[in-house]
Amino acid sequence: MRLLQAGKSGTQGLTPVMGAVNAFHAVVHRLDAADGFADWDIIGDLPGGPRQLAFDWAPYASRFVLVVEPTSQSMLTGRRILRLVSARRSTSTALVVNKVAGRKDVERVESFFGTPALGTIPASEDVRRAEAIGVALLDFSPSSPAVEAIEALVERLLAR
Amino acid sequence: MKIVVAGKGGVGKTTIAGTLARLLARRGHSVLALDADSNPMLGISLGIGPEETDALVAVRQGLETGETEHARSTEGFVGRFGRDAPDAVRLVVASRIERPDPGCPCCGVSPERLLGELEGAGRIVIGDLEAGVGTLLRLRDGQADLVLLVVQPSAKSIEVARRAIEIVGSRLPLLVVANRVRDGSDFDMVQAVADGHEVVVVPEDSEIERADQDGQAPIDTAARSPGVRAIEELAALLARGYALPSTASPLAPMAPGPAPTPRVRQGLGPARLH
Ligand SMILES: Nc1ncnc2c1ncn2[C@@H]1O[C@H](COP(=O)(O)OP(=O)(O)OP(=O)(O)O)[C@@H](O)[C@H]1O
Ligand SMILES: [Mg+2]
Repeated sequence: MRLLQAGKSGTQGLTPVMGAVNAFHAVVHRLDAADGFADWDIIGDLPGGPRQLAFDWAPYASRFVLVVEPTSQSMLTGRRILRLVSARRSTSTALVVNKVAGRKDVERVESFFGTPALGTIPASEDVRRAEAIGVALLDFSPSSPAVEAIEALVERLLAR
Repeated sequence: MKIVVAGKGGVGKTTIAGTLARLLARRGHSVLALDADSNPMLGISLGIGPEETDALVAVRQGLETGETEHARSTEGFVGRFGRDAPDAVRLVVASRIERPDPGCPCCGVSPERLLGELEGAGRIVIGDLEAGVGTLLRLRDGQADLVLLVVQPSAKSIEVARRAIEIVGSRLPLLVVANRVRDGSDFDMVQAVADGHEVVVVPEDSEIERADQDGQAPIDTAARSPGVRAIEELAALLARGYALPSTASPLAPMAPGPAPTPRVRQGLGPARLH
């Protein structure tokens, strides 16, 4: 696995950050054409909200995974993002409901978007604890129900 | 007085900004809530509901579509594009990203420019910033008088807080809000990064979470819950003139003062969490 990370802002003002950001933008726009990555799977982790999609930060994506929590804020954000994604290109989108406490949560999100969820991930204390100490969930709690749910999601994504 | 609420994504900025705005308004202050997030959500925490929040025209987009015939000044934009929320809080959205290639977010009408041009004397302006440190990096003199840095006891949030504190430096007074604190060790984790800045605790509160699930303001559905009460203490602290150089009215324009003394307020510490 290789990790490619966008530049982090420091205290020297915006100029060096903008350089790093522009370089990163150029890199993601050439990932598709890079022979060395031709048989790789690329997973992009975007910041919350619509900003990066508006500026076309995921041109390499053939699948789009929309992660939504069963809250109004999260569903509104998901709707705003979907509008942007479909305005740019017709990437297929999979809905994933996270922090699910029960069937009602899933139904609420599914009915808001009018589409069934490809994956549902339970609200889990393991995730919170791993996050608190900054350890990957997979290392912290490999048999957590959340990990199982993400594994199932991977299977379904690969099956498509 | 102009307050900006900053921190990592999802730490509770909007919850705290919205609830604080309502509580300060109830104390008799004139409050302008500026949604400075390009994914604006502040309306929900202020209590106007998700669909109303989604329907609000942002100043920047309003200007671009030419809806400004009668409003040329920044205060005019507040009247033209803002709307009233409960407790007479005025809500205005700076900019909203809703189309591909929406133009450079820091050029033209940016949240920080609006913050700079809005009158801070005689009222309280609360800016709910976008996650991360981008806006803090761009902040210039006169755009804010106080930074409320919201921090959760998690490794990622602490890392963002460390960078935010470094960026703000001694330019502005900064108050740390330790949100979703469950116990003493959560509090210690946040205090360790606070670098001598005062820390106010808001406990983990399932009623706040539930309000957000339903798209409602915590202050309307859970006014007596521990989290909202802790934000009330924060409002009281600010209303007393926190970070003002003298005993001047908290509504007077604020000069960047010295860094606050390292001290945990009695009654706000982890002892009173539950
Ligand atoms: N003290 C608390 N106790 C329990 N839940 C909380 C608390 N504070 C915030 N939350 C919950 O955390 C979630 C994120 O809160 P909020 O939207 O205020 O964060 P934010 O920092 O504004 O996020 P963003 O970066 O996406 O704008 C919401 O579901 C909210 O209800
Ligand atoms: Mg927010």
